[in-house]
Amino acid sequence: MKKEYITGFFIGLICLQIVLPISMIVKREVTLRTGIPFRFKTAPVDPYDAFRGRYVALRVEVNKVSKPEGVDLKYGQKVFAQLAVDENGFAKISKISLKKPKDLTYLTVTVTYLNGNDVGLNLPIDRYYMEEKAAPRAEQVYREHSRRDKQDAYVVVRVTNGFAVIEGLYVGDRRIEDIVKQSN
Amino acid sequence: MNTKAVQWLYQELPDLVTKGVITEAAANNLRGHYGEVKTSDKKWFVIISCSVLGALLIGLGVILLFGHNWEQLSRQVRTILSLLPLMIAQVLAFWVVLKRPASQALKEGTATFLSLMVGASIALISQTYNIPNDTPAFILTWMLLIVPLTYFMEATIPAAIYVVGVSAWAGHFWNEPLKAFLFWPLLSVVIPHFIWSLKQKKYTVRSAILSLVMATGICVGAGFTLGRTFPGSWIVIYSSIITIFYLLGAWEFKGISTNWQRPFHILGGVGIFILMFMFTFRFPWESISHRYYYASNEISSWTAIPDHMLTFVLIGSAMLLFFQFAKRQDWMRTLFGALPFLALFGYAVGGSSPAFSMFLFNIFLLIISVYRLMTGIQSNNLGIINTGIFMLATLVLARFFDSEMSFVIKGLVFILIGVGFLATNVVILRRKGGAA
Repeated sequence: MKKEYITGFFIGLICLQIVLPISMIVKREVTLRTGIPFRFKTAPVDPYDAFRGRYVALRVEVNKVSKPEGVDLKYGQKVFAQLAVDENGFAKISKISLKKPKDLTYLTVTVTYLNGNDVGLNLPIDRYYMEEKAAPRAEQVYREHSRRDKQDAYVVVRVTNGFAVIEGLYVGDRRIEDIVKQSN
Repeated sequence: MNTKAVQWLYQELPDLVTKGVITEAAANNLRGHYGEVKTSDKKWFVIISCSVLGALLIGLGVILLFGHNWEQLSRQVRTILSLLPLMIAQVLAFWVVLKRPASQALKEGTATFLSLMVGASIALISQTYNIPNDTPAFILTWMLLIVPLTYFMEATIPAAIYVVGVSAWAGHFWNEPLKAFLFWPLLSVVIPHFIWSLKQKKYTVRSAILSLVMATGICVGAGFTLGRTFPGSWIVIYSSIITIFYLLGAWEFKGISTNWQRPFHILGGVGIFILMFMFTFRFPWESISHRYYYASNEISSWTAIPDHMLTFVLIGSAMLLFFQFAKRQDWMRTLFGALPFLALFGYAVGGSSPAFSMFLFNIFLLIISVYRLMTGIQSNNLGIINTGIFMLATLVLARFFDSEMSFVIKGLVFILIGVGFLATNVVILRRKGGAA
């Protein structure tokens, strides 16, 4: 290859390599700043990722809805879940649709299982990254807390245009980072 | 050209001249004919290895430091940290491309570092914004962003990282055959670089590393993507793949003189022996009658068409190569290359009578090891003799401890083969005596 071509292509590649991370950042910053906040009840556990570090895995409680009438669903299909708030102030999925709901807050989710009238959904809220030592502590804090019959862990998630970004993880209305710090 | 032999010859020349075996002029003619021997290969190897290892360790270190997930860092700082190491790596790589295009060590090192920093950057952003787990997308994005470096910087480590990456990616789609099949086009992206690296005279260790990674990647990828509809078809598929490694690896490339430069050939040879040895047992043939629990739903019907097509291409290519080597009357390689035929035959009958297929491979492995032993003795090549003995010994030991056959049959077969050896020995000795 000629040198000018190499240089040109190389600059192109470098741009691509840098544009992608920047666009990832921008999209999430926009959501965090402008998105509508929702609280999802969850149960945190602590696993490990070699590249991205420790995190608490989140199991969001509202992960299934009843199947809408006259709609054919497949495993892995993309659907839109309309969000609403229940009487306790937590997020719930009011219904799912194949078309983007207008004027409503929704999340883009995938179908994980179909069982009779139940549709299992995969919400894009499954990891909360924490400091190496804090993540296992966080799981412990949650367990101790839930033993007293108060399973009130939740994540605050900002949502715009079907896209969700996690803002924070709370146990009993306090940020998990603060609880972990205090318990040390 | 065999540089080691020439080096040896140059060492001998003065001695030969003083002893009057050849004249000074003849010695000079020889030196003129072979030219100067480059002895810088080792130095090269050390410089490039240090450069690559340094880049690898620093890159992985950065990833680990990010992995700690420093709580004190604000989102702004994290954003800068996600981009800064990537940009430093890009500047370094760009500078090398512009100013030091001849330095293989710098190119390989900076390309490796940049490859890792692309991954580190995406990983840190995933961490900062708690991005949901989508490992295959993470891997594929990362891999596609680094594979061009292989070509722009003539760097092999990014290619190796890429091969590992796309193999891991394919593993996530074991139940989605059409997606998993993309593994093959993705893998083929590095083949031009691989062929180029094989033709290089300097820095041959790189083609060895890449061969090892590619051979492993192909075998792993084949497991994820091929033979998903017919239980036990792995017997034929892996036989064909390994035979292609072996025979294609033996193909003469210009300027290749040592086996070190034919890693696929060696890997293929070892692989053929391992497969043949496995096929002398019962378990591979029993796998033919296993039912795949998933065969009924996702992996069947038309989604399996690419799988079937590639399987046929692989078997066909292996057989074509076999005929090529048979035409050249390269009997050792032809014998080894007969594996796919036997595997196909064994697969056809092995489902109903595993014993027959086992018997077939026992006999064939015996023939091959004895043939290897004999060829080694004839050509006085200790390496070939030793591998022949090793193959034979492995087979004999395995059958000795085999609980499948009765002691009487085993004993008789052992004695028969032993007598055969002694008889051959006597014949050879007689012939030699007759000649003398």
